[in-house]
Amino acid sequence: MPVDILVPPLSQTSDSLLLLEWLKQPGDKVTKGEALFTVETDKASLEVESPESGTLFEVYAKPQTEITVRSVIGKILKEGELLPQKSGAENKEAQSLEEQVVEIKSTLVEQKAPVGNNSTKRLFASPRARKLANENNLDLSQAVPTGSRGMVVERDALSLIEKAKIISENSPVPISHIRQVIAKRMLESHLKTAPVSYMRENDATNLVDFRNKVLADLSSGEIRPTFTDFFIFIICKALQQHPLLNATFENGKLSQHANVNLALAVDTDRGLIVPVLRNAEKLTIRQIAKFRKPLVEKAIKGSLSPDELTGGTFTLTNLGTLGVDFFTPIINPPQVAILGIGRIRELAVWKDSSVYRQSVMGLSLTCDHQVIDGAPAARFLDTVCQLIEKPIKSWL
Amino acid sequence: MAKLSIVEALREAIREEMRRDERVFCIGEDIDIEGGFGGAFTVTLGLSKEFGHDRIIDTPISEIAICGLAVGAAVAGMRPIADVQYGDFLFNMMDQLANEAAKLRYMSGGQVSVPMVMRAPVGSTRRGSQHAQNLEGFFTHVPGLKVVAPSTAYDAKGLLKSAVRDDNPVLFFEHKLLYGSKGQRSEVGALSPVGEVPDEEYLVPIGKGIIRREGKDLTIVATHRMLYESLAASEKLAKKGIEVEVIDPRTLVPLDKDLIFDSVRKTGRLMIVEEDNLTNGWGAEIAALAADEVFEWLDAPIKRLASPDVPPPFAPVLEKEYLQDEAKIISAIESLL
Amino acid sequence: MTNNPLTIIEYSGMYHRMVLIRRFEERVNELYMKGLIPSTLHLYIGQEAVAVGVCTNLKDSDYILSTHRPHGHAIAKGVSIKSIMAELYGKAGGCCKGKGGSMHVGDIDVGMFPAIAIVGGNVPIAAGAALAQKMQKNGGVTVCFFGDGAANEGAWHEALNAAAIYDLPIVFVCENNLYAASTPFSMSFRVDNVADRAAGYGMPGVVVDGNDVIAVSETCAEAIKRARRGEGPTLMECKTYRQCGHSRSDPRGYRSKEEEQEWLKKDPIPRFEQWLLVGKHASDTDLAQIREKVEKEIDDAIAFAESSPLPEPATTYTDVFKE
Repeated sequence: MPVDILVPPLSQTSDSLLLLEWLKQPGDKVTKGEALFTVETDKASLEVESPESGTLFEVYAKPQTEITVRSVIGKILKEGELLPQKSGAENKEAQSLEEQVVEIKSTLVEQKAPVGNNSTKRLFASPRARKLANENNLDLSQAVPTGSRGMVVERDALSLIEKAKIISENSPVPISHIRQVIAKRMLESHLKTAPVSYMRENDATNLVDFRNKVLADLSSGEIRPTFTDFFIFIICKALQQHPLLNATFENGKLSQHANVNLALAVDTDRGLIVPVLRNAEKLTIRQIAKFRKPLVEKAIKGSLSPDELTGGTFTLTNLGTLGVDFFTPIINPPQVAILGIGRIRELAVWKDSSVYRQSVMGLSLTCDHQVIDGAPAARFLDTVCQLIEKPIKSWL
Repeated sequence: MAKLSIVEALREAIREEMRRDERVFCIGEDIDIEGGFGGAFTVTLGLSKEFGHDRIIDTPISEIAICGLAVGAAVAGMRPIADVQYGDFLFNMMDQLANEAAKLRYMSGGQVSVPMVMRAPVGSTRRGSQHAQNLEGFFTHVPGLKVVAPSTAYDAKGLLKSAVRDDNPVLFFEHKLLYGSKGQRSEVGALSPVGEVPDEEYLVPIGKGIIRREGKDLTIVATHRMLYESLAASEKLAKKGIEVEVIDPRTLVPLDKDLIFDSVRKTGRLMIVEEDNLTNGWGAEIAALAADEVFEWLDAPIKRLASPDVPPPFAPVLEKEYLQDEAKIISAIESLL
Repeated sequence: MTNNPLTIIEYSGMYHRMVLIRRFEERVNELYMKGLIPSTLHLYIGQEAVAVGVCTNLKDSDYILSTHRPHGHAIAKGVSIKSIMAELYGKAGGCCKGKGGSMHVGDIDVGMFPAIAIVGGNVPIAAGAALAQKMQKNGGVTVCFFGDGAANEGAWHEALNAAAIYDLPIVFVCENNLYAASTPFSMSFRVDNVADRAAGYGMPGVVVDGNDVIAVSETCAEAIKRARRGEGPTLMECKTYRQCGHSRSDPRGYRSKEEEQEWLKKDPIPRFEQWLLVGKHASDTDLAQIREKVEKEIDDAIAFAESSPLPEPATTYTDVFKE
């Protein structure tokens, strides 16, 4: 075995020394105790002696380089030893037979180990578990064995099935296309608009009673307008009085529209769809009822045409049926406003020294403060409330 | 309905068959000597009063003759019920059983049949190695012999009647500790299960087992005393939420494979508990059959609990070590689950 | 030579059967040597007087139990030689459908149990058959054939004792041909006669010249009468000699040529021919005709055997149990 040439700990203050020069060259014979190389510590230059007699055959450190204390900077071959194989092709013949065999053996062992250990590891599973695995496409190597003698048994395969189910239930699922579109638009709305919401509770008693009266006068077979239909009628009237809210704002330009294309928010199992009732201001309540119903049905079925989905100037959204009183509806750009309808609640109120029934309804208006200030928004809302409180005014 | 011990049930079976068919007769040692014990375990006691000694034939100690007489008489048209006092003595008559009774029909090309029954008591009962053997395993291996092993009074009567009416040689194994013999002939440590036996005529078919206890976690197949140990073990395990299905095969040849394998398909685990010695016992046969025919349904290794490969010892503490019991069964089942 | 003269028909019948046995065995031997018979053979040649002498006295409803050397007994009892030949050939038309072979021939319809090759194994069974006959009260008797060798089997002793204590209607016929396989009689017995053992069981024992068909017949007739009268069993020892070896693979080195020559002189068939001719119970021509007839019968049997089909492999699995 060649002898290491070690760097002696000559410095008291540091772990590294400067190798000054080699006094012998590889191939030279050296004698034990003979000066082999010189080093510089922080204090002085010193000679280092050879640890063994023989032939200097390898040096690893160049002159004028830093060397670390206790590191190996060269090797000496003892008398009679053959040169061991270098990493290069030279000196191969010189390698002793023993060493060659040892090397070959160790490479073989290394090669065998991975094959034996990892890839051919036997799976111990009961036939019943295997049958279950085959039928359910399970990888039994993932199962935790609890059977006798460390076997994977049926219950372990069943656990795998359970786990797979849970994982599939909890793992991230890509969202549908519609959802992606909704998501994009919602985010855009937040980025592009300056939404402020105005909420007002208002007395819808008269509107409720008005509708009931209308319904009572209808003959059978006639379309029965819903509360929403009445509300759409009122909104259109209000919007005509406040055209600023029936506008679109794009690229810095504000367009006020004469027609009210009322977008209606419809909840479907695919997500929120907003079909547009065009020229709603021209429609009678009966007509509103007539056109709104199929529009909503198409939305739910997913069979709206592009015409029916674009061109909205104002959006109406109703969460009252789901029990919400007030909320902050999100504007649908390039529109500049959206009105949310909340729940109608029946209250008993004290008025004129008596108790009266009052149908109270929450209204939530969101306007884009880029173009609509608080006051115009509030005024619009006030108009809506007045029309709700005195529905007949809608026809005046 | 009467409550009978196995001894009483067997005696009734013999009596009924002898009344029904005059070709039926009994032959064996000490089976009804005047003033004697009516067979080693009193099964044939009193029968000679009704049928006389021409049909209840006592023999000298000549096991070969007992069997040979039965074989010859059966071929010549009679229906003998032969009796060996202890199962261990079947070895004395082995040639007559295995070379003659089992083969006469086959080697004659079906010319003759041998409608005989050989009744043999088995089971370890502190009498020593040569009076203690369970040896069903020897006979389940002989083509041409049927092997029956009832464990209840109902089955004992029904199966003995079926055996007498069967046209083939039937080895009928009775367990000494299940007889319920009374008085002088009662056994220490006997289980003596007394069972309901209908008054009306009935038969239990040879070749059909029965489920004694339903379960879903493991199937046990056991006979005789081991059946009762298995049932006791199952009761205890039920309290731990382990439900064992216990099958009494009743016949070992021909074996009710369908019953056993349907059960294994359900539970996925099979254990055979027998008093016969472990190596090459009938339990080994069932285990091998299962490993072949219901391999895919197995969820655990097939286990056999049996007496070790030693002759049956005498000392009670050694006999306890030799025999399987409730505790050993419970322990084995828990390690399988 | 006879106290009980049988009819001429019966005598010629006896002669016919003796010759039939002799020629059957000789020709079967030839077939075997040609490789046409798959099994080994235990030839009855030389012992014909015993089989015929005994079976002459029996009805179809009387039983005989035989041994590994059964051809003579079978032919004497009336088993069809066609069915025996086909059985030797291993064919489906054999008396045991090819499943028994030479050592198990028999036909229960003529009262012959399938022969039992376990030495001594047939003796207790014969006692059982006799027990059945006694219980059935039908007057039937059973004859059990066995050799000297069987008389040392435990089964033999148990059976003789049982027959005696139950007074069974059975005749035990010992064919003492002086050798049990290769073991001479003198090596295995301290008594001179198997029949000497009868006294030990309390039954009469009789020694008879087994090569004298008339003597055998008459002695047997007496024993049968005893049995039918309910007086119990008899042990009848027939001194005889098998001219061939124990089986086909036996070169008979254990017997001297002189002994064999001596016994050849006592061959039962020429003796009977002599007796018939001298007593004028038959003529040369009659005997010659019988011999010719026998050759033809055997030709027919061989033809039958050759044309009989091989057993279907599926029959390997049948007749283990009676369903």
